[in-house]
Order: sequence, then structure tokens, then C-alpha cells
Amino acid sequence: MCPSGETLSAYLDHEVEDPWKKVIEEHLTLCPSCKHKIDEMIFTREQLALGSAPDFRDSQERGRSCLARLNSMQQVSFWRRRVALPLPAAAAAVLLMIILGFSTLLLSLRSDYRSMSIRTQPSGTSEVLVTAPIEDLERMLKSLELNGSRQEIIIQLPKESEFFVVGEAEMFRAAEYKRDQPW
Amino acid sequence: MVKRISVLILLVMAIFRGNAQEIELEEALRPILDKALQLNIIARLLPPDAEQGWNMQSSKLTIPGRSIAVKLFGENIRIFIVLTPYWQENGKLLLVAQGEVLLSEMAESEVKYLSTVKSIPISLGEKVLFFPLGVPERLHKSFNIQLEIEILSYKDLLEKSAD
Repeated sequence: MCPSGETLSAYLDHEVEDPWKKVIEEHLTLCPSCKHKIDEMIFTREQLALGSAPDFRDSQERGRSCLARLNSMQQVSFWRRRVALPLPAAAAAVLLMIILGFSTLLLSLRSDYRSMSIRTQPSGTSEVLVTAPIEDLERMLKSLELNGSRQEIIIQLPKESEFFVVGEAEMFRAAEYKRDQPW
Repeated sequence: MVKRISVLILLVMAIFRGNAQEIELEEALRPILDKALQLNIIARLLPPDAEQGWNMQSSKLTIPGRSIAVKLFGENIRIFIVLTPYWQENGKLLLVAQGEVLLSEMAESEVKYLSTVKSIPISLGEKVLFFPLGVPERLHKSFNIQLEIEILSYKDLLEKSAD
């Protein structure tokens, strides 16, 4: 019975101990098939031992160029960088932009919205129209009530000045008034 | 490149939109500003037999029909004057002055209260004198209060300052 290829390979590698080593040697002298196999193994080993080391320069060069390309992709400016968006998200974004654009356009066409307009009547009087939400108007009215609707000038008169009422309050044009003249 | 152009377009649109709102507001406010009036008020304290004494000047902007209150506080006196300018149909101004005086005379323990309403048609730039305590005579021995009121067109003032 012939030994298997693995046993022959182990024999060739000196991994088979006696008495099996002697048995294989005797078999090889008698079996030309096994002898041929072992000769082929020896030939292959010799060829491998004789062969030069593979040339990796091309693959190294390719690897370097790949790394350089990756580095250059990482250093792309913000404006040139590509953004990958899923198609549904991109479609939703476009739809949103269209809706916002139309809304802005409608609001700009309705110029009286939340604004003030003044119309002059044929009689010469002006009518002021304020368009604003009711809450805003209420807030404005409350603010006017709190602040008072008129401006004030407060004057502190000098001390040690005693006043008396000398008559009824009067109002004149300055051009018509002389202090010496009794009114 | 497309991104850069998009951002630029959005910025330009935002700037133009903001500018348009400012113009609208300015246009809407122009009729009010054209009618705005500046009240120059000089409060004078007239000593007896003297032309000049203590005085204080103040200016306020208003529109016809909106009043300006002047409050004078002294040792024994409180004066409240409300000045309201109105445009009349003849193109002249009507100045309405409401006065209230609370006076405590030293010799008496009671407080006097006087009120009055006076009106006078005037032109822009014309000066008006208001005496809330009455008109002093030459030989009167007490201090008196005089308010000099001048009404100017705010629009004219703006144009003059621009020149």
C-alpha cells in the first residue's frame, strides 16, 4: 500500500521518524509511482529555492498613489466638498424651499400685513390704518395707557421764590405784549 | 461654485427685503413727520421790576392734537400746564393751554386752586406768552411766572439743518 502525499511530504521534510522512515525508503525503491511523486516534490522545492523574490515595486507605487488620492480628498475646500444626501431627504429639502419661497412671495405681495398705511381723505384729513394681530394692539394700547399719551416737561422752580396769584391766567402773542402795559 | 452663488443670492435677497421694509415704514411715517411740530418752551421767573430773571428752556416734538404737559414745582406752588396745538381749517395753528395752579400762601393755611383754559390762533414761529398766575403789573412786589411758547414745523427744521 502506497503512503499518502502528505506522508511523503512529511518524509521529505524529515518529519517521519524510524521505523516508518525505513519503511517509506524501502517502499520508494520498490514503487516507481511513489518515487515519481517524491521526485516531483523535490523538483518543485528546488525550483522554489532557486526562484528570485517577487517584484512588489508596482504594487507599492499603486498603494502610494491611492494614499495620496485619499489625502487630497480629505483636504478639499468647503465649497468643493461633495455632500451626499439620500434622495428622499433631497426631495423634501427642495419641497420645503419651494413652500418657503411661495410664502415669502405671498407675504411680500400683501404689503399691508402687520403694517401701517395712511390714506388722505378728500377733505384733507388723514386716516391711519394699522394692521396687526389683536394681541399686539391690546399690548400697544396698554403701553400707551401706562406711559401716558402725552409728553411731560418737569421744571423745578428756584427755592426762596414766593409766588402769589396776581390775576386771571392770560395768554398773548409775544409781539403784542409789553410789560409796562396793564392788561 | 453653485453653493457660493446660492449663498450670495440669498444674502442679496435678504438685504433688499430689509431695505424694502424700511422704505415702506418711512413712506408710511412721512405724512406724520410732515405734520410734526416742535414746541420750544421757555419758563421764565420774573423778579419784581426786572426784565430778566431765572429761566429754563425745553423743546418737545409732538403732532397736532397731542398735548405736551409742563409741570412747574416751587416752594409754595404746583403749576400744571397742558399745551395742545391744533391745525385749523384756515391753515393756522390754534394753541390751547389748560392751566391748573395749586398755591399755598405762607400767611394762610389753606391751598388755593385755580384752573383756566385759554386758546389763541397763531402762525408757525410766532411766540406766545402764557402767564398762569396772571399778568404782573410793573410795581408788583412778588415773583411771577411766564411761559414763552414757540411752535415750529419739524419738517422745516429738518430741511434747514440739512442745508
